Amino acid sequence: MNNVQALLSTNIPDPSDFPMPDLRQLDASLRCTICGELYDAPITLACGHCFCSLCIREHIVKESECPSCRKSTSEGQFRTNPVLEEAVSAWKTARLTILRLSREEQDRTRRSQEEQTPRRSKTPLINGRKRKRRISSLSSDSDVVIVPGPSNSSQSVSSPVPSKSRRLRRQDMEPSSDPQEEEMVQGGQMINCPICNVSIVMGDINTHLDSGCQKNSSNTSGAATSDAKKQWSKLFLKMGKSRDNGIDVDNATERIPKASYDVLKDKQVKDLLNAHNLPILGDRKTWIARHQRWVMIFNANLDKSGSNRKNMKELRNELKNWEDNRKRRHLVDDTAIHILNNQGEFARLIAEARNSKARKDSSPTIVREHPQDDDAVVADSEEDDYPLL
Amino acid sequence: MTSISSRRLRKELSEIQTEGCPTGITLLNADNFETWYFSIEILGESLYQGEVFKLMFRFDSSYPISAPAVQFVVNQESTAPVHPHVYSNGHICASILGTEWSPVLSVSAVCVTLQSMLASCKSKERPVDNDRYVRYAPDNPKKTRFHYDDDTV
Repeated sequence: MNNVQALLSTNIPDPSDFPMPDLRQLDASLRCTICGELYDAPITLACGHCFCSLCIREHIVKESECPSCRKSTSEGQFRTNPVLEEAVSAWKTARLTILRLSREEQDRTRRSQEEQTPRRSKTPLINGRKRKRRISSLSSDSDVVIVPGPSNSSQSVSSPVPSKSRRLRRQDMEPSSDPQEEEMVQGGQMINCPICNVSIVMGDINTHLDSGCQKNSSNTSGAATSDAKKQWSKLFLKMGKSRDNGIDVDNATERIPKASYDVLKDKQVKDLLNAHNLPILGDRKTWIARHQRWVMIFNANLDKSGSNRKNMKELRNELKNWEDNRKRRHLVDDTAIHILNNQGEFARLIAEARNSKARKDSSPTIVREHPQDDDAVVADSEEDDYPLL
Repeated sequence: MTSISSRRLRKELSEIQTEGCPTGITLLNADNFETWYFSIEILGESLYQGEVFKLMFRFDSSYPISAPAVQFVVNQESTAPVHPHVYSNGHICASILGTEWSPVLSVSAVCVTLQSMLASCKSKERPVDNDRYVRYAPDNPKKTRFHYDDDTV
C-alpha cells in the first residue's frame, strides 16, 4: 500500500502535464503506445508502427503481430529508428523548458483575466516587466504563436490533429517492400531462422539449426574465431574463464540469438548464462527465464544508437531489478492483513492437516518429517499469478 | 524502482483525471494499481436504458503486455447485464479481453468496447451454457478459455 501512495505522489512525466491540448498531443506522439513512456530505443515494424524495443520484444513473445494494426510481424522485421530516437532525446531536454513556459503562460493568462475583472493594480511592477519580456521572446523566437486569452484552448482543439498526418505518412511507407525479402546471396535466398530470427542462406539453414543456432553461415570467419576462442577458454578453464568471456561480452555489438531451451541440457543452459557472466542461482526454470530476459534487455540495448547504450553493468542491474520485482510480487506486504483475509483458508488447511496427522498416527509406517516444507509452498505459489483476492 | 505496469496505470489514471472518462463511464475507485472499479451505463436507445452496472478491472504485473481481468461486479447492489456474452457471475466473453487483447489498448478503450457491446444487443438473454459455466467458473475470468464464435453482437 505504501508503494502505491508513493507512486501516486511522485510525478511521472505524462502528456497531461501540459495545460494546452496541442502540446499534450505533441508529447503523446513521441511516446510508445505500450508503456506510455517517451520512446526508448524506438523500433519500426514493416507496417510503420513504432514501439520501444523492449516493449515490442516482450509483446512479440506472446503474439507475432503489430499491437496497433495486427499485421503479422517478426523480429526479423525490426528496424531501428535513430532519427526518431534523436527527436525524442531533443524533446526530452526541450520538454522541461516548454513545460515551464506553458505553465507560466497559463498563469499569465489567468492573471490577466483576473485583472480585467474590476480588481486591478494589485500586481507589482516587476512582475509586469518580466511578463512583457517573456511575451516578446515567445513571439519572436518561434513561428508558433501562442494566442493568449480564453479562446486559446478551443482553438487548439480544432486545429488539425497530428495523428491524422502520421497515418498518411504510414501509408506512404507501405508500398516499399521489406529489404530483407529481396536480399539474395550466391548460396540462395536469405531466410529468417524460425528459432533465432537471424537471416541465413537457405542452403545452410539445417547446419545452423543443428548447431543450436550457433553457426551463422553468413559470417563464418567470425564464428570460426569465436569457436577457436571457446576452445582456448576450455583449455585454460582453470585460469579465470569468466573474466575472459566478460571482456568479450562488454564490447559485443552482435545481437544474442534466441536459444531453443527445450533441446538444451541443464549444463548447456548454464553455459548460456556463464557466457554472459550471469548468476546461475535457482532452478532450470529460473535460468531459462533469466536468459530470456537477458537476451531481451541485451538486444534492446543494441537498438539504441551508440552513445545512448548502457554498459553491461547497468544491464545486469536491470536484470537483477526485474528478477527482484518478480519475486516481490509473491511476497505479502502486510502479514497481519494477509492472515485476517485468509483466516478461513488457513483454518481449513489446519483442520485438514490435523485430520491427516491423526490418520498417519494410526498407521505409523508413513510418518515422515518435512523440515523444508516452507520453501516448497513458496515455490508453488509462483505458478499462480492470481492469489485469492 | 517502479514497475512498468504501475507506471502505465498511473499514466492512464492521470489521463482519466485530466480528460475525463468516456461518456457513460465513471471511475468509482482506483486506490491501488491492482483493482479498479468503474460504473458503466448505456446512453441513448438500447435495451439497457436506465440500468447502471459496475465493472471491475484486475491488473497483474505484466499489464499491458497481458490483458487485465475484466468482469461485471455481482453482489447485493449490482448485477451483471443480461446479455448473450455476459455470464450471470459477471464474466464476459469478449475476444478483446482474451486473444484479441493488444497492449496499445487501455482501460477506457475496454470500457468503450463493452459499452458498444451492450448497446448493440438485440435480445436480452444469458449465454446458452450459462448455468454450466457459472457452476465451475474460476474466480478469475482470465483463467477461462472462451471460444469466440459470434462477431455480430
